[in-house]
Amino acid sequence: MEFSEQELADLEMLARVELSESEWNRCRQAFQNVLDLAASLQAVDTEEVEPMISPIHLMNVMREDEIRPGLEREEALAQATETESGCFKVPRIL
Amino acid sequence: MTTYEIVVGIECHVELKTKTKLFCGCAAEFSDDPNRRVCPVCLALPGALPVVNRQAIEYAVKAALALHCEVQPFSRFDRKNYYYPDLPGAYQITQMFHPIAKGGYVDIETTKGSRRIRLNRIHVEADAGKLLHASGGIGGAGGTLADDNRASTPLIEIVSEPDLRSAEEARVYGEKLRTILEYAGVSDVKMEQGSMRCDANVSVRPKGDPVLGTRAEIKNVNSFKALERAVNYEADRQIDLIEDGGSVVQETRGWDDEKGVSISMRLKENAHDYRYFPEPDLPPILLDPERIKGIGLTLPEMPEDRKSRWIKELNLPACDSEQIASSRFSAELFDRTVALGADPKTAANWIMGEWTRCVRVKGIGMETEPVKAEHLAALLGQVSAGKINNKQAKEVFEEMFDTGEAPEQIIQRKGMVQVSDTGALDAIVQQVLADHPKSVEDYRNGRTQAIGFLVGQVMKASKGQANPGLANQLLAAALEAMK
Ligand SMILES: [Zn+2]
Repeated sequence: MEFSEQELADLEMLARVELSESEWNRCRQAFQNVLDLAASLQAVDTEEVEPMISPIHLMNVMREDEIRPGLEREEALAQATETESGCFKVPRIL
Repeated sequence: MTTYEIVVGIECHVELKTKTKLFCGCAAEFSDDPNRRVCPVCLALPGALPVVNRQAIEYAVKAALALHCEVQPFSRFDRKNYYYPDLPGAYQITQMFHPIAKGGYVDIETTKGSRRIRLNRIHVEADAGKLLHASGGIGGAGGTLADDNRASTPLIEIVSEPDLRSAEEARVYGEKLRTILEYAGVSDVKMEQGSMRCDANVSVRPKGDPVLGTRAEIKNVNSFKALERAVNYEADRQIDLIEDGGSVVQETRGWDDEKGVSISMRLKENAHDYRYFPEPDLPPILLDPERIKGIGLTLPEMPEDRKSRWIKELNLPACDSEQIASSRFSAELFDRTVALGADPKTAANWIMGEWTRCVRVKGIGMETEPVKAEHLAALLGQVSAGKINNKQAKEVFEEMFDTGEAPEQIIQRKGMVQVSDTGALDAIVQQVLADHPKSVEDYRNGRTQAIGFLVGQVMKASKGQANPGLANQLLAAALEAMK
């Protein structure tokens, strides 16, 4: 299966990144390698095998509905590029 | 001319009323002080691990059972990936592949009769944060502010099949859903406050055509009346489009209730590639039948069951039963008042009348139980025993509603007594007749309705304490004697 220019362009948009020409070529090759590897796995018969989501077989890990202290607002906002009125501030979207 | 059929499916998001968020111990309760209920998990800081809230799962199961769904023995969470500033992790944790419940139905009754609306599924998911406008700043064009207090609070999404056939059905379905969830006690279900949010998928097709038309999704509907208007508007818009030779585009539209129009919110074509994949940080949820059964046992008697019991056992009219059963709080007040010996029809009248009026006028939440069943039953007892009349009872009721005091106390404090003593009333009657010769004259000239005015005067002179039936009787006798 060939990884097309369009597929890379779509991924670029979805990931909100802008690739330079050299990055573009490198990424395209890397994705192609991943697809080739996946294609070789297609040859394996997995008819009776359940998909494995995690190698750790845990079930029903739950917590009780009890309030626990979180972060102070100052801590929560410490990494923000910009803040205003106790909020994270981002370029206009509304 | 083509006749069109409206086809509607509804996706309803309901906030579960847990104390904490879905995956962390932050308080889930609303706060208007931004970012005070946040932690590394709900801010999706690297390395933080979510752990599911047991109560949220139990509420979801309870809602599913109340809606006749099949609760799934195995369910799991998935990531839905998209960028939006109200989503700290750039993905929402939801249940795409293995939802907690499938199937189910809601029976609705409209002016056209009753219909069963099938449900497709119920899944559990995390809510997003809230976005606000900034005053100025980035880019010189204001900016957007993100408050994550609501981020990761627990929701269930209830997805109906496209079984609704009119705007009225859409509204009634929403109202019925709210009633059922209120009975189940899993949510505050307030549309105006956003704890219940309905999106409508609307399409039209020529009547009889088995193929579904292209649908538009209508968002931002914040009341059931608005839902009805929005569906009507959308159906008309689509029919006009088709009649003019155009075609409907699949899109999301935002409803503006003030203007009564919807506006396209369409995003770029491929922005909706959500790249769902199983959430690796959350182990699956296994529910055994015993546990599901146990949760089902905590459901109260549901509205349909109460209605038929009241009609059958209490002889209550169907429309009264419908109205009282439409809220768990009025239903429980009614059942308890009747259990304390009140006459069912009288209790129903008071709940549909004064109780509903006070709740509405005073804006008091029914869930706060502003009037106790014991007090309502005692008040009705005072009336049927002839201690106070209906008018006085209404005054006592309002006082009870405001103060939570027992009716006997209020009656005593206000010095209310019903004068049923013939001697005491006779004196008042004679005085009223002497003061209103014109009305007496009218009565004698055959205008017998003049007695109504005179009864009113007796009530006034007795400060509302006269027994109105007795006053009427005494006046009639006195007037006859004067003829
Ligand atoms: Zn948190």
